[in-house]
Amino acid sequence: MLEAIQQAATGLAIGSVYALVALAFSVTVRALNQINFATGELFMLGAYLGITLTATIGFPFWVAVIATAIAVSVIGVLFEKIAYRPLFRANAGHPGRLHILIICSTIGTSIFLQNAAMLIWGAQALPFPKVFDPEPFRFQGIVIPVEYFWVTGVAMVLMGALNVFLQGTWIGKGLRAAAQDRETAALMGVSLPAADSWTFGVSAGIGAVGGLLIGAMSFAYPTMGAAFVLKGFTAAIMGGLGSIRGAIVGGFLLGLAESLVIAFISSVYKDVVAFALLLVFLQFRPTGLLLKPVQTRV
Amino acid sequence: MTARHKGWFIFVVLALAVVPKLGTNPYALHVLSLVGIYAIVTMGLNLVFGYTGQISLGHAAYFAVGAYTSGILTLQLGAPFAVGMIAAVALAVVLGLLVGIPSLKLEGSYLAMATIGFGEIVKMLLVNWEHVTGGPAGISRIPHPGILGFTFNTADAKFYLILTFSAVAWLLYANLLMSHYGTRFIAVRDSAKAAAGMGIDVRRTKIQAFVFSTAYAGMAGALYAHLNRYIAPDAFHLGESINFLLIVVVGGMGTLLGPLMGSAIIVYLRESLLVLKDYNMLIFGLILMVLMVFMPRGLVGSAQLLVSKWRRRRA
Amino acid sequence: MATAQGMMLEVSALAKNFAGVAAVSDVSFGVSEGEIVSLIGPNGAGKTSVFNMITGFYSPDTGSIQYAGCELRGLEPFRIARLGVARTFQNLELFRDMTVEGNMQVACQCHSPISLGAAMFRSAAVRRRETEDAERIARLVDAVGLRQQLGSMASQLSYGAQRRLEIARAMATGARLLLLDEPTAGMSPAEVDEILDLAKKVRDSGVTILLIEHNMNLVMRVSDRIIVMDHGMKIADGEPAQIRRDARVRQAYLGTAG
Ligand SMILES: Nc1ncnc2c1ncn2[C@@H]1O[C@H](COP(=O)(O)OP(=O)(O)OP(=O)(O)O)[C@@H](O)[C@H]1O
Ligand SMILES: [Mg+2]
Repeated sequence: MLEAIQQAATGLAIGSVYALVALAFSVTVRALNQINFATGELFMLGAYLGITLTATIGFPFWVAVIATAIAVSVIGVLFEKIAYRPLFRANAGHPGRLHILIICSTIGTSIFLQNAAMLIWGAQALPFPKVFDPEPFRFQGIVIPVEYFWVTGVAMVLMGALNVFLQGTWIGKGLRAAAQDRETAALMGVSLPAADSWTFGVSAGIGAVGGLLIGAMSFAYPTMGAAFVLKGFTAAIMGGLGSIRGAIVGGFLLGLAESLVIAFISSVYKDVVAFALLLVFLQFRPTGLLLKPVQTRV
Repeated sequence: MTARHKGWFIFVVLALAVVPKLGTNPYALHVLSLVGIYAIVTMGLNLVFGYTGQISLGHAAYFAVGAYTSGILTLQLGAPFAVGMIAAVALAVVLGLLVGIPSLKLEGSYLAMATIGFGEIVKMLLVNWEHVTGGPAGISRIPHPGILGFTFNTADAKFYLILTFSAVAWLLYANLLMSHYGTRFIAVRDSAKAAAGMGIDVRRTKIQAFVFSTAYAGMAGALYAHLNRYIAPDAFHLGESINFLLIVVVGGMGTLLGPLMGSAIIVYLRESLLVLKDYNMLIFGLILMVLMVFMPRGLVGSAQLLVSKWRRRRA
Repeated sequence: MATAQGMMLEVSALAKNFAGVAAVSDVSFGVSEGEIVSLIGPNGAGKTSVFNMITGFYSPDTGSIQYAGCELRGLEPFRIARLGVARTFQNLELFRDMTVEGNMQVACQCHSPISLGAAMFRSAAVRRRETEDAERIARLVDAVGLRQQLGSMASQLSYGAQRRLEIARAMATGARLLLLDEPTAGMSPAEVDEILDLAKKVRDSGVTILLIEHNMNLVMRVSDRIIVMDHGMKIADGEPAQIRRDARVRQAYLGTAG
């Protein structure tokens, strides 16, 4: 039982990171019905930037989080302008082809960013500097490292901030309007190119913080994006791709499911859990737990 | 195929057949053989993806199943090459059906992710099922291919073997896609609704395309195992699936010649970028992004567009 | 109304709801062989939904659809097409990245016995069949005036030509019953007249037509019988002259409140 509680604490911390990656996906899917396959690499950049900012420059942890979020958001916006918008313009009449081209272009971006990271930070895994109290939190025989609280806490704060941003600010309202109906939003004066830039920026920033948090629990390496992208996507599907609440619910559920498998079965099967859940959900409930299935129009 | 197509086909095969006689070094022949193997995989993938519109980011898995099946059968059980080849194709097809049928409901990004997930599961199997697959170290000393007592043990001989396989694979693929029957694949891609309304069984068509492509991937995998004589899980990761997809896109998805051009260009690019050392994949990624923006139809598609514009201007 | 005698299509008590909205409720009608029957009604009346149920794209909540002695309800669209019921789509569903010829070739396969293997090896049967199909396609594109555009991309045709291609494509399936959903939408008056002639020619060649159409002039000139729908219900069914006089139809169209 103790083991299960112990693992559940880990599951919550990791789950909050999955939730952030799932959010990064859902933000672009909601707005543009596009998956950004470079999400994993933006996540990886977040981890490296976090390490550089805390270790080399000596920022406090929370400052590093904010700086990383902003820096990678800017990269996300650049990505939108360089790799996404020209494709969108040139293939607006061919939604099928556009979809494929964007997948390929974002794969190109992934390869580029992965190798750029390898050149800058090296191919080896980079540990996170010791910024947290090395003495873990102990309670009735349960031992939880301090960074787990930070990770879960930061993720929660970010989710809250995203909610406030989308519901409470006029930029957020514009994004929501554009996500619902682009034409109507444009008529109401929302600038669609600006909305798309914001979408990519917000998605990149959230993903990057996720990477930074995983970095804080372990370390950073150039190919870490690929491993977490599939987990994050699984979480997004479980909750309902495109739904903000769904992403959060899915993230925590997946984290808990994994930790329970470790507690009761074996850590060898930890990664199989996500793939299996992904395939099961795609097969039986592709709209996830929180969204309703719809009948397509003919 | 018209007479003109046949003429071109014979000309190209003969021209390639002369290459080893020009004193080409074994390394260059090996690379050219690889182009042939990639071309076979991507002909199949082009049918699924370029023509039928179903994305797959898991084709390295069928390629791997083909390679491991033939490798294990010929090495451990001493089966002849032909048996290994047939078993490789058969097993890849069975797996293809196993994945293809449940995937029918999925499209676009969902399908992309599901196929990635499936590919990862196969890779985990290759790594963890050690007593059969040799685990992370893989299988080495796979026998040279042999047919009717002749052993293909030189770079020249292997090149001819792979050239023959690619040429036959091409003939069947081109026949299919140039026939009226071939139009149903594009129909399913362009409008599944209208295709169904015209009496096309959309699900069956998608499965056919998928099975065709897994058969080709299995066949190419077997050839790869015997060309390289060494296989390990590392050669069949997600990056390889992505590579196959890129070949189709860069060559020109949904064009007959796309897989050939794409295989040649991507293999050549990767080899020639090697001089850039650490920067080679970085540049590769950049080239891809640029290609998507400036050549969305791929090499063959763009060339076709140019030719048709030029014709219209003259007319 | 006549009973099953001579009826090619008999729809009875058809109903379909979407999230509480009754798109179609309790609609029954029959179509006899060789007729042109028009299905008319204001926007949102449920006409396209009826087509979608006949052709298997929507599954009805209740009711039955008898066609030539077969129950169509529960069959998949491609099976219904193979039984001889073909349609066009209100919002144009051409194979856009294929030529006019390619579009026609797809439809010609509706009853084709050719297998994947035969196509890969290009057997004699394949070659024979393709020659036959080419002749059929030539006849059909002549009939709709698309001979010159045989090699053009479907997406490059004018709007009217795209509509005509959809009709020719539906006919290429060898259909006995043709369902046309607003074939003249967005056409010039001259083009509308061409469609009218075409419909009559098709009917005279022995194909039965069920037509959704907003152009009243065309409907009155071409129809043997007219069925009127409003708010998902059938409100009238009769010959053009009767329909013209029907009070409920006038009300539905003029929108008199009440
Ligand atoms: N797939 C669907 N999901 C939800 N509602 C639908 C769907 N298909 C049709 N409807 C609704 O059913 C009603 C009837 O629609 P239908 O398209 O059959 O009308 P119609 O008579 O063809 O109209 P129009 O002349 O505008 O084409 C409408 O209210 C429409 O919004
Ligand atoms: Mg309609």
